[in-house]
Amino acid sequence: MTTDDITSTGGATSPRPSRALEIVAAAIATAFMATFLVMATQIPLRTEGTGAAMTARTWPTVLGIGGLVVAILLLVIAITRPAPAREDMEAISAGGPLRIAATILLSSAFIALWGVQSIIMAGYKIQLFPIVAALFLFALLWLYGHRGWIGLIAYPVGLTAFIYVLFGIVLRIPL
Amino acid sequence: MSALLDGLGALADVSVILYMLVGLALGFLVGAFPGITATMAVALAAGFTMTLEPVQGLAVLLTIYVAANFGDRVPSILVNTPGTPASVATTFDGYPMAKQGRAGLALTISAIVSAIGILASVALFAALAVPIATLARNYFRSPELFALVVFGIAIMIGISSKSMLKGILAGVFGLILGTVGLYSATNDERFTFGLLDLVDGLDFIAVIIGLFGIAELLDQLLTHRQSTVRPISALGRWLPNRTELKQSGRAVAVSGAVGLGVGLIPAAGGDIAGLIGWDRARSVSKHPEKFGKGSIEGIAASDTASSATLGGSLTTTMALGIPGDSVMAVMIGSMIIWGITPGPTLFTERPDLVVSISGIMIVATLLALALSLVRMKGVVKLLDLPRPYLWSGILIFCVIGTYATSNSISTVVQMLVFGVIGLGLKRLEIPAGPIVLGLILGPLAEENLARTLQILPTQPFFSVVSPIAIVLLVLAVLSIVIPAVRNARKPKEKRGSFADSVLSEETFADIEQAHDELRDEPGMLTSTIPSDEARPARRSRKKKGTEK
Repeated sequence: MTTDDITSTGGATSPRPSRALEIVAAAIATAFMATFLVMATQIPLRTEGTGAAMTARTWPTVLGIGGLVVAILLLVIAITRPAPAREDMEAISAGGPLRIAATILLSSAFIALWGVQSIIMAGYKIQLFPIVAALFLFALLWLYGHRGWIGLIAYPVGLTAFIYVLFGIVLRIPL
Repeated sequence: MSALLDGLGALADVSVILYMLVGLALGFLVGAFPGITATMAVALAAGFTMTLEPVQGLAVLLTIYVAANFGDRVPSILVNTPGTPASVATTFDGYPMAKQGRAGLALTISAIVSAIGILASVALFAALAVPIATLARNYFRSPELFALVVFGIAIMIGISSKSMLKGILAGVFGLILGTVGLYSATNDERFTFGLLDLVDGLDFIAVIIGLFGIAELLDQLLTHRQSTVRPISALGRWLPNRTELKQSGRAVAVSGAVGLGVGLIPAAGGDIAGLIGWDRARSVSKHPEKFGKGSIEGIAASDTASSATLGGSLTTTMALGIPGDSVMAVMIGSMIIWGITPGPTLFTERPDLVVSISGIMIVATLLALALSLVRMKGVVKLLDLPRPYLWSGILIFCVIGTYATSNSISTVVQMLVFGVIGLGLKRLEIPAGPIVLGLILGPLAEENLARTLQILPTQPFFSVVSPIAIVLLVLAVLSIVIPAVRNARKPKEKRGSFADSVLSEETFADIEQAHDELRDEPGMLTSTIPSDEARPARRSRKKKGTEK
C-alpha cells in the first residue's frame, strides 16, 4: 500500500488504479516463486533413487515452476499495460494505516505478555491473562475511538470474564 | 434404519440444542452486521469448536451457516447494504419495499422463503449425498481424485477471481502452503526451517482465521469511515396476506430450482444463485416491470434462490470433499481436525452423519425462522452497535480461538502473519478462496498424482486414466478459460469476477433507474439514504467479494 492508495478522507470512494502497486506486487510474487523453486530443488531427500515416480521435491518443483510462470506473466502485464480499475474496493481512510499498525503492535504486546503466563507478586502467583486481556480490550476500544468510560471499563471486564469462563473453565483451555 | 436411529440419536442430546442456540445467536449477529461474512464467523467459531464432539461442533458451525443466511437479509432490506454477499439481490426489491413503508412485510417474506429454500435444499442433500458419494467411491481412484481436486480449485479460481492470473497465483500459493511439513510417502521434511511447529504443516485453522477473519477486520480498520446511514425503523405491516403469498409462488418455484442447481456447482454460492434466481423469476413473471421497485416476487425470488444453495454446497463438500463455497472450505478444515474427512468414503463409512447433518440443518432453519419472525425489531437495533465493540471483540476471539486449537502461542503468531498477508492480498484483489482450497486439498492432490504416476508406466494410459478424470480435467481448464475469454472481450473498466457479471449491464441500469425513480416519488421513507446510496446493489456486492 502506498500513499497513492489514499484518495479520499470523506465519503467512501474507490482507490485510484496504481501501476506501481501492481508492479511491486508482481515483483514480490516473482521473487517468492523463484526462491521457492530454488528451495524446492534442494529439499534434502532421505533416500534418493528409489525408483518412485515422485519424490518430495517433485510436486513443490512443479508448483514453483507454475507459480513462477504466472508471476512473470503478471509482472509483464503490470509493466506493459495500464493498471486495472479498483472500483471493487474502498479507499484507505485517514487514520486507517495508523489503526492497523497500532492494532498489530497491541496484539503483539498482548501475545508476548500473555506468553509470560503468570508472575509472583508479594508471595502470590498472579495469572496474567485476565489482566492483560482486559487491558488489551481497553486499549483497542480507545484506539478505535470509543470514549465512554462505562464502555471502556465494563466491556473489557465483561468480555474478559466471559472468555475466561468459556475457554478457561468450560472448555479447559490453559489460558 | 440403524443409520437413521444413530443419526437422530446423536442429536437427542441437550448439549447439541444448546450449541445450536449459540450458533443461532452468532449466525444471526454476523449476518446482520455488514462486513462480517459467514465465512469469517465459521472460521472464528472453528477455534472454539475444536474441543467439542464432531456432532456438537457441526451443530455450532452449520447453525451459524443457516442463521447468517437469515440475518444478512436485515441490513439488505433496511440499509440497502447486504449483510453477506449472499443477500446482494435482496437489496433490489427489499430496500424499495422498506422505503415504501413495507419493511416488515419484506423481512417476513424473506424469512419464509429462505426457510423454504433451505428445507428444499436439505431434502436434496438427504437424497443425493449418499448416491453421489457411492458413485464417487466406486468409480473414483487416484487419477479421478487428482482431477477432482484440480477441478475444485480451478472452478473456485474461475468464479472468484477478477483476474484469472491472480486467481491462479492464489491457487498455486495455497498448494505451496500445503507442501510445508512432512511428505507423507517418504517422511522427508519440506520447508520446516528446523521448526518443530511446522513439521505437521501449517495450522489450517490459523491460516483460515488469518485470511478470512483478521484480514477482513484489518481491511475494515483500514477503510472505515463514519456513516450517517441509519436503518429504516418504520417497519409497517408484518404478515403477508393470501394474495401476496400466492403472488410469490411462481417466483419461489423458479428461483428455488435455480438455487438447487447452482448450489451443486462447487464454489458457486448464494450471491450468484440470488442474482440468477431474481433474473429468471423476472423473466417468467406476469409483472416484470415491478421488479426492482419493491416487488414481492422479486424479494421472494432472490432469497429463495440464495438460500436453496446451502444443501447443494453441503452435498459437494461432504460427498466429494470439494467445498461448495468458502464457508464449506473452512468447515472442511474443522472436520479434518475432528478426524472426519469429507469425501467419497465419508457417508459410506458414516451414513448416520447424513441424518445428523440434515437434522441439524432442519432444526437450525426452523429456529432461525422463528427468531426472524419474533425478534426482527431487536435485530434492527443491533445494526447501531458501535464498531469499536465489534472490532475488539472479533480480534480477541480470533486470538483466543486460534490459541484454543493447539494451546500454542506460535499458532496465534501464524494467524496474525496470515492476517497481514491476507490484507495485502485483499488490497491487490487476489482471492483468498483458492488459497484455502489449495492448502486443504494440496496434499490430497499430491498423494493421488504420485499414485497415478506410479501406476501409469505399468498399464495402458486409458486403463489408468478414465474418461471421468479426462472430463474433470477438461472442465477444470474450461472453468478458467471461459471466464477469462468473457472478461477479455469486455472493455477493461467493465471486467469483473464471474459473480459480478451474472446480470447484464442493462439489468443493473434498469434496477438503478427504478431506484432513482422511487427516490423521487413523494411519501417515501428517505431519512436513511444519502443520495450516493441509490446505486448500491453492485457496489455493495463488490465490496464484499464472493465469500458467503
